Formats: sequence, structure tokens, C-alpha cells
Amino acid sequence: MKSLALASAFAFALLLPGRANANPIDMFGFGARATAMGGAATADAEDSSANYYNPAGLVHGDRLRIDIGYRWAQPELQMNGQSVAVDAVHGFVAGLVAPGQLGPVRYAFGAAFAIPDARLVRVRSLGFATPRFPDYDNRGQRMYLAANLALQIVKGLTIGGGVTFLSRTQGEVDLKGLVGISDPNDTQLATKIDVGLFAIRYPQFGVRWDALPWLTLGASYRHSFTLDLDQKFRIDGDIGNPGVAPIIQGGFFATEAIVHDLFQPKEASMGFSARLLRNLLVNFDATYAVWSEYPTQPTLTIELDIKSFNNLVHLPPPRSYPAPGFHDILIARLGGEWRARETDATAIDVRAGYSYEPTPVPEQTGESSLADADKHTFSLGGGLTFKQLSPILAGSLSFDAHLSATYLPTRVNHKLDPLDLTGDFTDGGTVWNFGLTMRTVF
Amino acid sequence: MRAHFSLALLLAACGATGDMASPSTYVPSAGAGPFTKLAADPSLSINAPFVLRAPGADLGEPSVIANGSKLTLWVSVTRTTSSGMMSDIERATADSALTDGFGALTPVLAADQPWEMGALRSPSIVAPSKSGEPWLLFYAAGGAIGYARSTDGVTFTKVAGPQFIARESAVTLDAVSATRVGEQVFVFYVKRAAAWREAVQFAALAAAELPTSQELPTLVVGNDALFSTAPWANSGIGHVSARAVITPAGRVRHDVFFDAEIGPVTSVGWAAAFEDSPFSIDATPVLIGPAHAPTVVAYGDQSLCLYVDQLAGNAAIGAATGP
Repeated sequence: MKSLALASAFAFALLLPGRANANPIDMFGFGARATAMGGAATADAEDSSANYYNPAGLVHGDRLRIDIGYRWAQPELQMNGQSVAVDAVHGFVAGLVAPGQLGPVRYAFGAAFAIPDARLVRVRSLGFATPRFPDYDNRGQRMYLAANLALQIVKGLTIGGGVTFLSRTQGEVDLKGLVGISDPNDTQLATKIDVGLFAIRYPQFGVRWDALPWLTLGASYRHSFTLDLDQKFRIDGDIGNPGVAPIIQGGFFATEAIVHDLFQPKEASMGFSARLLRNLLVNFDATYAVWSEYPTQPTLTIELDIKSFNNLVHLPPPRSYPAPGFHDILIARLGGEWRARETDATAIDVRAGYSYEPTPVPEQTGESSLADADKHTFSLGGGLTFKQLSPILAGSLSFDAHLSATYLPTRVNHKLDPLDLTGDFTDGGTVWNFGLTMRTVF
Repeated sequence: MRAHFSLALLLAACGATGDMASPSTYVPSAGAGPFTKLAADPSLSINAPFVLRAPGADLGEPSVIANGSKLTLWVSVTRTTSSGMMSDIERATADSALTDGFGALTPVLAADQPWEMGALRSPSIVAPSKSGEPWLLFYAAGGAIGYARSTDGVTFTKVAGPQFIARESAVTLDAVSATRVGEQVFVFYVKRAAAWREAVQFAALAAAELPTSQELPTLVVGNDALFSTAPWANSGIGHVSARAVITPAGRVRHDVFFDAEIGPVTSVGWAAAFEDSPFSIDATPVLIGPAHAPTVVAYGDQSLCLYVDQLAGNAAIGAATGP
């Protein structure tokens, strides 16, 4: 067991330098089992999905677990009744749980990641007024990595916490040289482009308590983050003609645009997992999401220095954008698992769930056109577990599948300004989510 | 053995898939531009951006309706005849207007009433909303507004007129554009270089006998101007073209596209109002000129603006597209 823990810790350490870029898991869940149960897993998750739902659950097992799966989410979203281009999100999800014991203290390392197989990350900068589904447009098009440590305080009470790694993007284009004033072909500029991804991280932690033999309570917290897209353009140089003294020497023009590429709210979840019957497990979660901190879009600054000609040019002040007006929401999730068949060698589980997530986005009456609606998610799934694979595998091997449909009823947005270029619009649709996960307990 | 088994499981779980981005690029839009004139393309049979011309004649004030990709256009045509300049209203159709242009013009209405003073201008078509209803074709003539009706949209019979005259004597109504919302017809027109509107019942316009043996009561119009200029313009309103849009939210938005001058160039502006609210005027032109007498129609997944500009010494119909 100690060697397993050390090996897992080493694997965990190898993962740390990898770069991750935000969170499709918030949209579609982690692992087929929890997703099939409506995402109600705060007091239940003990496999690698606990890295997301509640790190305190990681320490409940005593064997190394490795889970790997594949997920496909297909938004079928409409605006004005017409399908809009929202890309599918699909890729691999994987995670591990490596438990161990140090003296009297039981602990477990956990790591989880999701890797899109179409692209590692997509950065998009859209105009403030461009219509889009902020929840689905670009949020899932990126990698996710979480690493956690869980400890057992006393028997039945565990805590866990860790960090999720993301990155922000910064890009800069610099031009230096001479700008030809009589003939643009005389312009001689050297170009330097510098684009980078800079790591940010946010914490998560949780607690879990086995209150009764049949009842477990859990709570977790995920911090907020904002991914900014920082773009700079600067041109430095002289303005004139080659071979003669420049009309303007050492002038420059610079712009910097900072837009918010992604926002994830603070989320606090509380839930219970109740084994109401020997074969029936019922989970419930309530999550409070602080969407009211959704940042105001974006900032654009322009600087110009053309020396003695500065008085001839009047740059407009940076325009301000109205606050988006998002509000906090309370999400309810309910899930159940029915052990339909069990023998010494195998077990078959049937799962179902429902969640209700009210939209945090107000009706769009102004310049922005952020499409969103309340979300009703219905999920189904099943699992097949092989319990006796010795000597190949000392533990068990499970195959889980889920299928969920998130229904967004049509919402109508009335614009105040009849000249709004988007105009009144409706939005709604369905998001399909399918996945398979193989869970291995060594 | 255990390691091999684990590796095999991991490999079995892995599969390669490609990205299946949605092909749709739909973006909601009010359908009012901004517009960009068609770019010249030597491979096309049209002289882009122009989609209709009549050598030796001046075309003006187009009015267009779309049925799928097919467009039907009514336009004023001014020719020099032995009796002088004569303007009538003619019709043309197009199956692929942006690549092949419009077909031949065919006469629809001629100036044959004394009050029309030899010139019919500014045609504006109101299509029936259900079978059995007549088509209405409004026009400006002699400083007033008249209209004709049709059962097939091709052959029109005038209702004796004029039907709309200015409240003030010696003041002309210079352009007309009509829209229909439910049982109401909104008649937009230009008077004293400002845009005005009058509402009349469709039933009243449709019910007059054909051919008319007695005139409908003439409406004396012009109580309050909708707007008289645009923030970007240094002139009054030269022409108006209106449409009524039912927004996805189910309410009516009245759009008025107009021309006005920026310095020596005439460009196209947009004003709009929800239902009975006051009109707001866009702060910038939606089509930079030279462009006169615009009309706008939804066309496929974009909007099409037809306008008038000079081509080889005559006024012709140009096209611009936008969201």
C-alpha cells in the first residue's frame, strides 16, 4: 500500500507542471456515475470524481483507484428558433485516488483532469454586443486539472482540499520602425509578437461526515475565477520619409484590450447521501452560485503620442459598459442509484437524476445579447461492476454510462432600443451529454 | 501481468475522434445593416453593385418583396418621350438577384390621370396576407399619393385619386411607402423634407369598388412629423421606405430607411420604433453613399438593400447586403 501511495504521489507530481485551462466539468459533470445521478455527489463521491464534487470523499477508500472515460456533450441551442453554432465538447476524463496512512492518519491524494480531443484550449474575444450563449459558447473548450489531498480527522469525518489550475492569456504585438508618410510602401516596421498563457489557480475544499450508518452529509466550496484575455498592440517609430529628418520622431500608438474570456462563480454545495434501502441510494445537493460577481466587460485603452501634432487628434475616452446584472442562483440536484442485481462476481446498478439550475442571466434589454435560460437536466445511467477479477486485478472493475439532456425552455428578450442591431431575440434548446467511464480499483 | 492488464484497459478506453463543429453560423440580427455594396466581380453577368439598369432611362425608388430567393421589384422608370419626360411604374423579377440581376422590366402603371401630372413615382407594394385579399400598390404623383389594386400582383387597377393630400395648400407629398400590420396600413411619406405617417384601415382601402365609379374620400394628412433629419446628416429627408417587422418577441417594430445628405453625398439612414413609440434614429448611416431611395428586405440569412445610384449617365438600381 505504501508503494502504491508513493507511486501515485509521483504520478501526481508529474501532472503538476502540466498546464490546464479552465473548467468544462462545471458544465457537464465528472464521471458517468455522478453525472447519471444528476450531479448530486457532494456527500457521495469516493472515486476520482470526488476531486471535483468534494475532495473529502477521496479518503474513504483504501485502494488505489484509476478512472478513465470519455464524454461527448452536444449543445443543440437556438436563437430565434434557428440553430446557432455552439461546438460540441468532447474528450477524455481521467483521475486517480491514491490512499495511504501515515501513523494514525489516513490520507489520500487525488488528481483529475479532462482533456478535449479537438483542441486543448480555445481563446475567443467577442464584441460586447455579439450574441452568444455565455454558458456554452467557449466554457468547455479547454483543459481541466485538479489536485487534492484528503485527511480523515476521526472515523467518519473527513476533510479535503486542493487547487484547480487554469491559465489566463496575454498577447502583445509590437511594431517598431519608420512609418512612410508620402508613400506607405516606404514603411519599414519590424514586428514582434509575444503571446503567453499565465497560470492562475483557485482553491476548493470540502468536508464529509458519516452522520448515521445510512446517512452521509457533505459540503464543499469552489472558489471563483476569471480568465482574462489581455491583448496589446503598440507601434513605435518615426513618421516621415526615408533619407530625410522625420516629421515626428519617437511617436507611438498603443492599445490594450482586456476582455473576460471565462468566469466561474464561487460555489458552495451542501448535500446528503442516504441509503434508504439496502439496494437504494438517494443523493441530494443544493449549490449556491455567486453569479452576481460576473465582471463588467471589457476595457479598451488607447494611447497616442505624435508629439507636436497631439493637439490635432482627440481620442475618445474609453467607453464604459453597463454591469451585466447577473444574480446569484440556487441549484438543486437529486439522484438515485438502484442496485438491480448483485452476485458474488458482479453488480448491476441503474441510476437516474434531475437538476434544476435557474439562469443567472437577466433578460437582455440592453446592448449585450447573452443568451441563457433555466436549465432542467434529466439524466439516466447504469453501471456494471466485476468484483472478482483475481489474480488479474485484486480490486474491482466498473463500467459506467450516462446520458443526460439539459432542457432550456425558450426565453424571450425584449430590447429597449428599437435600433439595437441584434433586436429582440429568443433563446433556448437542449444540451445532450453522453459518457462512459471505466473505474478500476486496484 | 497486472500492469499489462491496466495498460490494455487504458488503451481500450481511448479512441480518436475529430471535431464536429456545427456548420450553422446564424447570429441574431435586427436585419437593418450596416450594409456593404456588392463588390465588383468580373465573373458575374451584372455590373456589381448594380443589379438592374434600363439604358436611356432613369430608375428610381425601388420597392421589393422576397419569396425565398426570388425577388419581385417595382420601380419608377423615367424616359424621355416625344411629349417630354414621362415616369411610369414597372416591374421586374429576379431568381438570383445578387449574381444574375433582375430580368426585363414590364409596365405596371402609367400616368394617365390629370392629377398625376405625367409622372408616377415611389411605388410601394403591400402584399396580401391571406388569399382573397387584394395587392395594394401605392405611388406618389402630382404632389399627392394614390394607389392601385390587384388580384394577382401583376395587373393593377387604379383607385381614383388622389387618396392622400397634404393638409397645407401648395405643399407636396414627395414619396410614399406603405406597410401593413394586421388590419392597419401605415402610409409613410415625405413632406417638407421630413418623414410622416398616416394609419388607415386595410378594409377601407380594399373595399372600394373596382373600377371606381366614385372617389374614395381624400385623406388630408400631416399632423406630426416622425423625424426631419438624422444626427449624421446636413439635410432633410429625401425619401422613405418603411417595413413592419414582427420581432422574435412578437411585437411590431416599424423600420424606416431614408436617404439624406452628408456634404455632397447622399447616404442611407435607419429609424425605428416599437409599435406606437416615438422613432429613434441611428447615429450613423447604415449605407454610405452615394445611395438614394433605399428599400430593405430580408433575403436568405441576410438583409438586402436596394438603392439608386448613377451608372453611365442614368440612374440604376444597386444592391448592398448586411446582417
